[in-house]
Amino acid sequence: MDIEKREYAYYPGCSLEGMAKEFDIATKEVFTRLGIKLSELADWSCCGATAAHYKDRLLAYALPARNLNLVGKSGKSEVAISCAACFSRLKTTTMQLEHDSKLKAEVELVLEEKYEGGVKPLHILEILMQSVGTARLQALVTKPLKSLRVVSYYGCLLVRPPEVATFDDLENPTSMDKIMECMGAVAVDWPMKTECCGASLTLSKSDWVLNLVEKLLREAKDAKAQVIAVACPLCQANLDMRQIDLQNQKRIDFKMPVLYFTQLMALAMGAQKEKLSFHRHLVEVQSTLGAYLNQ
Amino acid sequence: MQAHPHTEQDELKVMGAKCYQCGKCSAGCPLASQMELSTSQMMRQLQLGNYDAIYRSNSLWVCVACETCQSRCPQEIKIVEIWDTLRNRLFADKKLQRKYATKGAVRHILLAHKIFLSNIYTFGRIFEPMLAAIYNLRSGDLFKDASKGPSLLVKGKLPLLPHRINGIKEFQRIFKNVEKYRAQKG
Ligand code: SF4
Ligand code: SF4
Repeated sequence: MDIEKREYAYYPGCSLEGMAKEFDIATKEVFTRLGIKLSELADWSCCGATAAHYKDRLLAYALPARNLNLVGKSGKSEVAISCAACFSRLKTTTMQLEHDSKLKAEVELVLEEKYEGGVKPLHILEILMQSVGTARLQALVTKPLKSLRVVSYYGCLLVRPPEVATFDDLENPTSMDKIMECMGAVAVDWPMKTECCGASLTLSKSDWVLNLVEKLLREAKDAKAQVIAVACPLCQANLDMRQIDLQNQKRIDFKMPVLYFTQLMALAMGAQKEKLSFHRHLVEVQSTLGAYLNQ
Repeated sequence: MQAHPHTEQDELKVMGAKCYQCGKCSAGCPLASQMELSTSQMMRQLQLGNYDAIYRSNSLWVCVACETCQSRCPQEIKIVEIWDTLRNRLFADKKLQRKYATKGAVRHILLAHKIFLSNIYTFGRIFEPMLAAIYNLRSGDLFKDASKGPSLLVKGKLPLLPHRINGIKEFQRIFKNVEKYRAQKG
């Protein structure tokens, strides 16, 4: 356990400024309680997400590289990231540029500056499990989520590709489950932990996304889960928002709240419910979490 | 862009040569049911150098790069990297786009990626409300998800004003430099 580590550079990513603001708020709340400072990177820019690597490989490495350089300039060597997709893009970039000198030269050419390297992107799950540790997390719990049945949904980029997402198991990850147990919840096992939600197709082919989401929600219901915990803004948006479409188009009402895992952590650590923006979710949270919100 | 998509001597063919058609990639693909050629069929066409079949299929664009296939392939073939290169080639080549990407789902998906990128280019970050609005406008899908707009606004989920990063000029130069570099390399 590395208790000395008290400050990280922090890369929120675009979603956490917009649709996933509540993820940002909850993550900061948890880290404040842990006594760890997250210093937001000044003037950070988009990582390029899926679209950049579909369009041009060079662009896909240059956009994260700009941000990695900003971390270096801020005098830090590690950057904490909440969004699974941003984490994947930044980490992939550090790995590729480390061993591909031709690509590195191309990136420096288009950036018009040197790529300094030496920055380590870390997903917040990784920091919580590996640097903080479950004992310290447990010690901060004041309002345990007793008997709340939670399925953890990891989706794609927290576990794949395995050489990038190295902190958990590829086919059966458990880090989020372990954290949920620390919070006093019942971590329910289910077969969809790492299935894809349809991701970026949500903009152009929402009907396909709807099918994938329906399968996921059905399995969560079958496992008798009360909430789904997630660590990716796109997963959250797809699973939460598309439940409204399932009601409208197929008359299926799963009533399954989809919460960021740091929202559940903050709640267990005694944060005021008003702070956690549960009202921003489309599937109503109050009736499931009522007992925990009012305790 | 070194190799023209239709040349015989293609690095991609080499990357795909190890595929022995076990089908594990297709079996785990979340979007298999929407693909005109399954992941393993795409790999077979690659081995044959049949780029016409590859681009005629919607598969490259239906794929969301979830990485399931690549992380399970027993031959450790970098499937997503290969597909990215194929996608990059189509993105860079207007002629290929006109030939293969003007209809149906492929047109819509490609359009969504392009709008996403131009949104980043404009602001340095994604401004979500504009993303959906412009997509709906340009795809002709005017009312898609319109029912959700108001409820997202009421919930305060959508920011009202875009934020443009301070270093926007320098940021946009990255995009321009990439274009320039590609143009020089031919
Ligand atoms: S999993 Fe690998 S070897 Fe098997 S069919 Fe797919 S690409 Fe070929
Ligand atoms: S990366 Fe693409 S082809 Fe491979 S499993 Fe995922 S969606 Fe299917």
